[in-house]
Amino acid sequence: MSELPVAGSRPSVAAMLLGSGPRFARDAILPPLAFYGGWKVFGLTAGILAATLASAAIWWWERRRARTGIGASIGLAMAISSALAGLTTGSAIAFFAPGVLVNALYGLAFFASVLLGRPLAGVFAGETYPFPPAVKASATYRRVFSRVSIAWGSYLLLRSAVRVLALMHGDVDVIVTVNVLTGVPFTAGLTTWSIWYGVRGFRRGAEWGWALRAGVVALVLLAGLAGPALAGEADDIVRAADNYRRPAESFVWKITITSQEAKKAQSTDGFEVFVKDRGRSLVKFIAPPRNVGRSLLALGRDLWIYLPDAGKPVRIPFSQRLVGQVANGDVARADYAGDYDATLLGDETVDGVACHVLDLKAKTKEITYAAVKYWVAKDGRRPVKAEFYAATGTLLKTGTFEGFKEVVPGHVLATRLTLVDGIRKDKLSVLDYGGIVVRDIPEKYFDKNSMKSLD
Amino acid sequence: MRWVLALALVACLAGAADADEPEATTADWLKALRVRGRLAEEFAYRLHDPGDVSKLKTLGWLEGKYTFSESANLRVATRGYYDAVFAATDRYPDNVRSNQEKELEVREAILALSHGDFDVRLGRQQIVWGEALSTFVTDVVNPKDFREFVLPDFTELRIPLYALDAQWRVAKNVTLEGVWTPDTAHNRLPKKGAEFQFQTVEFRFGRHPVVRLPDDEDEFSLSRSEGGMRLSVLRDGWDVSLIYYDQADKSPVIFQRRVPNTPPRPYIITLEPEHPRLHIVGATLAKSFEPVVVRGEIAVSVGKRYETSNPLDADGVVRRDTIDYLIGVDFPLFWDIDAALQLSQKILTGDATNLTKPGVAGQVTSSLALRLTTGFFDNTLNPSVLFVVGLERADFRLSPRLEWVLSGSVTVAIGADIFAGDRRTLYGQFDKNDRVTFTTTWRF
Repeated sequence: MSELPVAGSRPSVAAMLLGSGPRFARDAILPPLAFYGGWKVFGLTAGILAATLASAAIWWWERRRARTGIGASIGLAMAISSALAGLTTGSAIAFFAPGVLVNALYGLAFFASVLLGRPLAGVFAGETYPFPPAVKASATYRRVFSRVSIAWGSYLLLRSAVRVLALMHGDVDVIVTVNVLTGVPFTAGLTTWSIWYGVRGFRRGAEWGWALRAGVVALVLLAGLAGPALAGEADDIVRAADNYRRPAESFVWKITITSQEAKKAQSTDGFEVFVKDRGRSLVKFIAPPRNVGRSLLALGRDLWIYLPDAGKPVRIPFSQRLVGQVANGDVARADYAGDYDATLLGDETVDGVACHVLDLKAKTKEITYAAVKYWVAKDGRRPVKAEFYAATGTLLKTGTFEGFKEVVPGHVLATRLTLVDGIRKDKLSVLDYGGIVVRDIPEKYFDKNSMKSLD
Repeated sequence: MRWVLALALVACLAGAADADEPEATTADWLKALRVRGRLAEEFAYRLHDPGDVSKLKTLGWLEGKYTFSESANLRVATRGYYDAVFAATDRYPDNVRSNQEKELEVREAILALSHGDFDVRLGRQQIVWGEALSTFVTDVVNPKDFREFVLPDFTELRIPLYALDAQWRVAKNVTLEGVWTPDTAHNRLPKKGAEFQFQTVEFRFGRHPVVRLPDDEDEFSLSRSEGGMRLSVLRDGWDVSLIYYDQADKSPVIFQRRVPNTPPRPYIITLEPEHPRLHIVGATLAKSFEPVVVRGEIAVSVGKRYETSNPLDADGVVRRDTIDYLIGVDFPLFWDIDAALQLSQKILTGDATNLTKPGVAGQVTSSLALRLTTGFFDNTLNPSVLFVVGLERADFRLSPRLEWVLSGSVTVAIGADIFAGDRRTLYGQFDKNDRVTFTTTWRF
């Protein structure tokens, strides 16, 4: 079940553009500019080395971010072949020639993929958004990405033709200029159009459109894989699990966060958290000394930080990192039932515990995580495990709930939450909850104008 | 009006003071005391001729807070510093040395009382209004210490006032705040010859003798007391506040007077610093569109006056009500970089000819600020950079900084402050004051 692409929620144009646009521009512009700089200053060999290094760095970065890096991998392959051509012939023209050839082959591949019914544009789109198999097999998917592939194929072939003309001119300045001008602006424009067209195509499509309009795309995309989806029962499960994460309607507790990273000394941060009702909390920083005096105030989906150096509360986003793998929202909010719409996906066993598997989608974009895949024990409905996702579908971190104790008479709580980075598994933060006092907290604790006084 | 406000605030105080006080044991009394502080060593080296040390300051903060009960506490904070640069070099005149070499000051002495929906803070304090960082648009209550320009933290820049600050939570997420102070302290400006001495207006009076009068108004005055109100509302994530504040201009305005002399001698010109009354009306706004935060502030200063170099003007001062506003956006960039972009403008309601000075480029003065911050190695290595540019005259400030968190208590920071522009501009006046800085801070 772990391959279920629960994350991501629905693909929006803005999210996909922000996710892939800058990478596209970087892949297209950095290597030729690196070549030009090296060639101008030191000569042909330096230029070739600079371009190859730039491509290798991009490829390495993509792999480090756990992305397939198809674009970057192709870029690296092109850079290496160009480098071999340039170094063996000693000609700048020869250095650029393989790129033009590969560009043309690339364009032809787009057309060929359409003819074969496996549009190449879909493969690239999959880098940004994890389409489930059911979607990939649909007619809408083929239709939308076939048209996008044809557009890209046409562009690449035309670009190759223009670059051939530039090569024939023989001037490196002209070649690099044509390379950049026919690259970044057009790829940016075409990327924008592709994403807009893709999202629009799915929204208007007979197969998925109604689901997207209803805002439950992930549920539908997974319909063939997930079990019965009963929203009411799912909400009940999440609400019951939330009770293991808060002892009362009004209480104070202390949270100690221990952050660890391989080969580095661990760090410890302490917080005193005042909670009232669902969604109102004041988090005072109590350790280490450099952070003492700071505080966070969460009122519903609004968040402020008080910094002694500034002397006033300042509005900040929930998703901003607090410390280690912990976001502000991890400490300031413990109300999944209020923050997310839940869908029951099915059942699964985690470390021998039979669990419900739930798909949580953020009700608004102000919530810390766009989506959460949540495992809740069937017996007692206590939280077991959670995967937290960004809007782009990237796995941000995984959380494990442990240390269940009756810290308040008649109320069992999870006293430990371990958060592990989604990419680097050696980076983790452990949240220990203690010093729990159930009492009524005065209203002034939840007024941003009083944050300075409460320091 | 100010007296009515003061009486209302005192009434609030009386109401708040009858809070229930539980009995406490000796051990509880000790537990109720919290002490913390910090010690910092600040070093700066001036890059331009004469390249030399420009700051060698040892600065200490000590703060104690005693919590009597949930509804009453007393907080006292003191700050002291000694700048050894005045002993180490002879570049600064004696008046600067006596003004900036050492200081011991009570920064806070606040009795805080609360009762239900009323909170009152009485004593020496900073009262900070506004939503944006690194700006003073609606941060109008406390005067500022500009002896090191605007380079220190803003809590160091603000001069605390003895004041009464009362808050009433009228309804959920609606707060009304009233402030009253008889403490009419002014901005502290650098003396002539100081490292960050401001460019001043050159007065030309030909053969007329000039007498410069001191700025000697009492700092405490019931008749000239200051006060105002703020209404803060949070609705659907929109954080809005409206403010009104009545105060004396914190910066002196130099009025010219012609005093008859014995004929045939020419009349005497007196230059007299005054602090004209200002009525400041403003508003602030903030809203989070996760992960982007939008902020805005506006303040209209009614009664604002400026010195003019127009020789035909009788007193050398003209009134120009002034609008200051800013709009800003905070947003994340690639690789966990937090970016904050702010555009601010000062708009004079009227002609600005002959009014130009470092902070005023013309009828409209615009500036754009960009701050980038990020953290590496679990935020133990924190680079940041602040770039502020005046859009009309292209003067700018560039302040990169790298903070290294050595432990939970000790941080080390290296940085630089680079200024460029024409000598008559806000940042350009410090074109030759570029510096690198090194700061170590120990907190306990």
